[in-house]
Amino acid sequence: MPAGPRSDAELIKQCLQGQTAAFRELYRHYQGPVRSTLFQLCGGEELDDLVQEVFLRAWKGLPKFRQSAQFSTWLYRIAWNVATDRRRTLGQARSQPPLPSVDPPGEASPLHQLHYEDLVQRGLQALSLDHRAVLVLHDLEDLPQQEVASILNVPVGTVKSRLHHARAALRQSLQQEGVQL
Amino acid sequence: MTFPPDDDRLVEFLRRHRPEPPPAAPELESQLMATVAQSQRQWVRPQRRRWTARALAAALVLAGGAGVVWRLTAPRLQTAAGVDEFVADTWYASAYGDEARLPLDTTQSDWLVSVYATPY
Repeated sequence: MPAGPRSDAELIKQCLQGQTAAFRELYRHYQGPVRSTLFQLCGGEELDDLVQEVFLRAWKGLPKFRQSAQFSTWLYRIAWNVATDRRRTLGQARSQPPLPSVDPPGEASPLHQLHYEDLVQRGLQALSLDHRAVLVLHDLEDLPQQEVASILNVPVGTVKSRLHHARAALRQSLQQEGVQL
Repeated sequence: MTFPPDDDRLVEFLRRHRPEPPPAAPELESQLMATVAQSQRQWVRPQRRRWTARALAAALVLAGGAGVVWRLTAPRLQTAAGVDEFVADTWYASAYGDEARLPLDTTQSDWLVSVYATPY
């Protein structure tokens, strides 16, 4: 009988015994959401390096990982730390590279989806990193507010407040581009 | 805080049109696992070193403790001269009683001769 998927706790235990194959399994399971989150937070530049950095930090930090905590929350927190470290490295003064402007295509155009993606990306980049992180984790990654608060190490009230402001700013940005919500 | 119903439409729009990240480089996973394997060796070694250090420290503590206990409980005859004196004392005491004890200089090499020369 083939063995079913192993739990995170089981895989972590095997990692701590030095079994790198168990860590590969964890990587394959979580690299998608981690990659997506980092992309929304930092953009596509050096994305592979950032993903690698997150998982390396996770591997090195595993001996200190408390089994009572949720692995995914811990991993997202590492991703958030990597994102903020990168921002610090690049310097806050550096502006985002301008994205090419795309004229609104017709509804039936195959560029329709690309156009809206472009608008969403612009809207996200216009937000502060703190606001963007809350919106990405809660609205795009579908994490509960409590978990977002835990990842960002802020009170739940702060998450609610940031979410409110982030949505308002993004809605305004999209509406200015002609999107009816 | 309650969010307006408009938010549901906004979130739905964002999820439908979220920009997708570019695909990972094909060698990313193998590179990561190679680095993990490399760091694992450095990761396991300090653990071994930590255990060795702990074992060494425990051995030192045990040895020190044993030394203290031995010093407190062992007979105080720790030198050859002390042993000689002890033997002479007890031999005399058993043979003559304490009153017959002669002054002996056990530092002299021929002190035992004087003992044997003593008449019963």
